Amino acid sequence: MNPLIQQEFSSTQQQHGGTADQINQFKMVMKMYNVLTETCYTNCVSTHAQRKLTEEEKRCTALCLDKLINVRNRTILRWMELGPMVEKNIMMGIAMGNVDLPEKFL
Amino acid sequence: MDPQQAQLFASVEVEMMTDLYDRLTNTCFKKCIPLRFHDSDLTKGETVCIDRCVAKYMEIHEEVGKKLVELQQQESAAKPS
Repeated sequence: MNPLIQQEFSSTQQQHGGTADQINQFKMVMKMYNVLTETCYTNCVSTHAQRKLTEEEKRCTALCLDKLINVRNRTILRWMELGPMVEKNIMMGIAMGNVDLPEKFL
Repeated sequence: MDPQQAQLFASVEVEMMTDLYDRLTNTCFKKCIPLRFHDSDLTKGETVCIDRCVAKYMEIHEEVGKKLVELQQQESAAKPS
């Protein structure tokens, strides 16, 4: 079995059995896994001279992974700040003339 | 190991495998097949390219899996309870 799946399975075992929420979280992690693989492959591999990954491609993959994870963390940070509810309230406030946009968004 | 739960996980794994296969096929098509072609049969070059593309993709898939396992272990070690 794929090691990531195995780990996810055993970690949910520890948390009072699987619920629908945990299955969904598992699905999300799996989807992210596939997206990461695809993105890093597309970014890093351009030659098909041999079957094995070259050292350069391995290095690129490691960098790509760290980069993607940093991007994800940063995105989540900003998303929380600017999240949908906040944006909606701001828009409503602006429409009613009550709210000035913070300077950094102008 | 609860058999019903195990089955749920197995079905999610199948779903993930299907998604992986779809992405793999699309990615290798984009990488290996030129934009304009005249014949539906694969040329020798395209065949070889696709073989290698699949091998590399699966190798990267493995590396990503290992890294994610590592990260999750770090995250669960960092959590207080």
